[in-house]
Amino acid sequence: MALEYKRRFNEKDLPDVKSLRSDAKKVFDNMRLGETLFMKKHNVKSEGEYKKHCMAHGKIMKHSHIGWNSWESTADGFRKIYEALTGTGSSIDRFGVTLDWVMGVPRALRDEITVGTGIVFETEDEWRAVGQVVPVQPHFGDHMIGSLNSFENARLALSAGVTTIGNVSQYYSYEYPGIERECDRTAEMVRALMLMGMYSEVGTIVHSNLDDGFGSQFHDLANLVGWAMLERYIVEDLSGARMGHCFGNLFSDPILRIIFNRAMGKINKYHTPGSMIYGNTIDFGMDFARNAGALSSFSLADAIGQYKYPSGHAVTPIPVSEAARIPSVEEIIEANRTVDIMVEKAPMYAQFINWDMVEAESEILVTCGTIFFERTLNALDDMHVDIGHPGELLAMLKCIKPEQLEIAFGVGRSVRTAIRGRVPVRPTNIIKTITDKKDNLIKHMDGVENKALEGIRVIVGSTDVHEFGKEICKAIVLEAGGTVFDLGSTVSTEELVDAIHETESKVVLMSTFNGIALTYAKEVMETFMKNNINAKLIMGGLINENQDGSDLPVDVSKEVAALGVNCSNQAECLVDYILDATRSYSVRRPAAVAE
Amino acid sequence: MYRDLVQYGYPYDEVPAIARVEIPQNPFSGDVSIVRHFVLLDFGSTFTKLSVADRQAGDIVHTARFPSTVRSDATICLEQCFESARCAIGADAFERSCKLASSSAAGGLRMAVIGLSHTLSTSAGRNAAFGAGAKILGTFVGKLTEEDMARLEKLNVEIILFCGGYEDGSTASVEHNATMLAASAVSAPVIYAGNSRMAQTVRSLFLQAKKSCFIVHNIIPRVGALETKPSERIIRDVFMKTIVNMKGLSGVQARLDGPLTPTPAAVLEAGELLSLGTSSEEGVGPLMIVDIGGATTDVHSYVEQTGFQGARLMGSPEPYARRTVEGDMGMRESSICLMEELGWEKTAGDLGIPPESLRQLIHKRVENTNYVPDCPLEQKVDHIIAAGAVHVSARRHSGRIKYVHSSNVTSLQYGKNVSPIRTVIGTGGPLVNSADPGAILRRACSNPRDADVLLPDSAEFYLDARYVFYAAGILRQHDADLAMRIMKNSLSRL
Repeated sequence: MALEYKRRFNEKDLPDVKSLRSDAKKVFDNMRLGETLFMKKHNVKSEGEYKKHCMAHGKIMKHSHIGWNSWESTADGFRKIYEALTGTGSSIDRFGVTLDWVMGVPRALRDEITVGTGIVFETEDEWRAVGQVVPVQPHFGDHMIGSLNSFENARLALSAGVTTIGNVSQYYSYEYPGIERECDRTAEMVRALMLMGMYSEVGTIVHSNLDDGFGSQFHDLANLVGWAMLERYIVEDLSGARMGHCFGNLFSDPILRIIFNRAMGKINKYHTPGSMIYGNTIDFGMDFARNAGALSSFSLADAIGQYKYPSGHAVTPIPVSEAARIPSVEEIIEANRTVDIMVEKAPMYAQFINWDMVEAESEILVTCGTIFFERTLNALDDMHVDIGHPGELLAMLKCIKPEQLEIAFGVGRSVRTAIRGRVPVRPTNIIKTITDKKDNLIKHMDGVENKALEGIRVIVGSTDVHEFGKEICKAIVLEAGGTVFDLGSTVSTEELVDAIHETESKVVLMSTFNGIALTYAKEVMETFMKNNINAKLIMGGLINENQDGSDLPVDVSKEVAALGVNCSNQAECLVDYILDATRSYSVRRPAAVAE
Repeated sequence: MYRDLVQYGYPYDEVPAIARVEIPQNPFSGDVSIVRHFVLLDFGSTFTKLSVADRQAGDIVHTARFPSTVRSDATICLEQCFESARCAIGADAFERSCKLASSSAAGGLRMAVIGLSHTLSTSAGRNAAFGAGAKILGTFVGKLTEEDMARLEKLNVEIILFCGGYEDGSTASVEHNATMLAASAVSAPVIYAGNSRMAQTVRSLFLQAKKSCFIVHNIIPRVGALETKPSERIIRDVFMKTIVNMKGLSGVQARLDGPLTPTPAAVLEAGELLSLGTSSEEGVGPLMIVDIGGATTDVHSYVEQTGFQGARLMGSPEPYARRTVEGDMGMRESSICLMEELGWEKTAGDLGIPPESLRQLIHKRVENTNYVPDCPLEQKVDHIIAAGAVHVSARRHSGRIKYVHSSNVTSLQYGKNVSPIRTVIGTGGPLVNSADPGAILRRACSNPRDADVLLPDSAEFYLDARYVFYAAGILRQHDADLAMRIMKNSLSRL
């Protein structure tokens, strides 16, 4: 197939590898690696060194992610969590700190974007303070390596003693609206990787959460392994750094988590310790009791996997409230204590796992992933991309995108009717989960078997980058005979109007997870009114938003419903909602165009 | 039978080639790869131009022009051109040469475009019509009204491109528009490039009304997709079959070795080649071509569509090679409209003459479209008209940014971002004959007042000094390297 891609810039405009390395070296020569309280306490020069010690001695690390809006509340939370856990005989090894998106932009450009509600460090002292509150090692993921400010942020983090830094995946999937400097962004990222490489002997680790970036868009786990190999090739072989892959958000099947981690171990030729295995958040919903079950399930599997194949990854206790709000200190502590039990009991299960099957399954993923890796790299070489230049590879992979990579170079059997034209060697959990959820919903849903939506057109989209809710709704509508027009992610309200004119859709289904439900619903309803469109808006996902300056988004379902939007969030009733909505509908013609 | 099927809307791409509306032509009987000379003609309204390209010399070796006779018998000026070429390269070489031509005679290809939304089907339809070399006289968005039909009937267009709906999308609006068109007095052939689910209905409506209708692939088959090529192809075919006969060119085609091409389509092809290059010669990269004529100004851009500073791209995808035509921006016939846009008082002030005097000078140009400035003041007037045409046409061609206070996006981009372009080329008589073409072309760049216009902020300027772009365009498919060379040889840096 012919690949379609739109370059954001000419990759040949990037500085050559030698110049990039020279830039990194200049910074390296004028800085010192910092030391955190954690490093002092454990007498290590990096978190990587500590991880290797844990791997050798059967200790399983724990990671908690912190998402509070101010440094004061974050530091206070650090203390409380550390004291509460150590006071009860538990422990925590690392905190993930979420920076504000403005931190991903060079200081000179920050006036061009609106500061969010996350943490902003203004001085080197503020960066340094993050590792001086309690002896728990900080981890920086978002808006670091992968952002437009990759190089500077990597320098500041290393100077502060933070040695595991991400998030390569963000390069592919996160944009800074209003700032288009893709060439600079790519060059800065490569410099940052090279700087990390200059400290690799000490144990620095470049983190990449596969589920945050393009990794989440693959349907086949074999191709995902191949993608991870491409990332390793760029970071390790071309940039000289060492890489630790994170995964887990989208892995619901506990055994699959073990198998995938084993596969990741097999492609880890430098034996670099992993950052953390993230919690399975796709099973998390508004039912906290079920969430507790999900937490136990994935953390037990992760602990079992670590006992058998120590990879240095920390286990991540996800608080049961994660899907509903930013978790409180108490909820983080509770999650850690739950996981303590799982870590304690894991060895008892480990001896009864069929490890031969785990080995065989992981081998399939690695073998097929290698084919994907080689096919992709060969094709890029044929396209005259310099496959020895990390920046050129990053840029070209970003514009080709996973869907095309999977179709063109994927390893699944080619079947015309399959999604993306190939049957996955092993489907990702999200693909499997979407199918299962959809099947389960459809089983209990009226109107599907008799194709109640036949002839009905529906527009679907999401307000942010999350697409899974949208995918489930889309599948239900298709199964019920409806016609779907998928506008994709981050759909603007203005796009809806023209799409309605071209489709005569009576219903718009929007999935939302980014805390803007009320504002977005208001905008849509105003736009519809202005254009005299009488289509029904149905919203699902997290119907929440910050209200009255609150730190945490709160439920706004009532306010959204008062606008005439269906936000009852019951997918099992979707067919009925759509049928109800189709009863009244009208579209006025657009205004005339001047020649 | 096949011809009838085509005529009444049989899916165009499913019709055997034999039944397509392509007019009979004499494909070059020899081996094009060993042809030395290409005799290249352009039938314009005023002049018919001749360029003879020589493979051995790697350049144009002979040019000439003769008054066009397309309104009576185009073969007269064809023979004059052929005789000129014969004299230049010798009878034997002429006989062995490959003869190709383009035409913009009698106002070119006049079209109307109908779509359902501004940014999707209508925008895609306009891009296809422009890409095929047409001039769009009317654009209609949404459900057609009686007023729309009255306007359409008056436009006297030659082809209507009827778009609307994604696949499995809009039906009621499409049926409404088809019904209105079928019932109207408009007799121009209709190309339907909308939702294929409605093709049967559309076909029946036109069949009953005894009107020509051609069905092509949906121009916007699905969200985020654009398929203008099938529409462009049939527009050119219909142009050749239906229009050529009406424009005194019927006898010409049989004397050529390839299909007659609309001149703007040839120039579009040439610009794309110059931008992208060939396998053996590098292109010049993203570029813009500005062609100022008596009645219109064409702007072509060749650049990958990109989001400006991460803006959300709105509407249907934009093609790499994009052409727009401003029918109210010309040096002669449309100079009154251009003055309305520029402002009579302001322009008169710039010239240091009373507005009434300016009106007289402009009126003279409308009355006598062959007028050639004969004094410094008249030359200054032409300069101002040309600069104004470039200024306005470039801004209409380029995309725009709209900053919004929305919950999930901060800026929306409508249209094509041509700001990465760093090469602007001028072509056409008004620029070639201008004392300061650089100053005219500079108006294609943005200025500090253009905060939302996605034009280049600076560029290098060139002139197609020998007017060879049409020739390069029709030559491209036979010898891309030669086409590339003659363009580069013609470029003069300003």
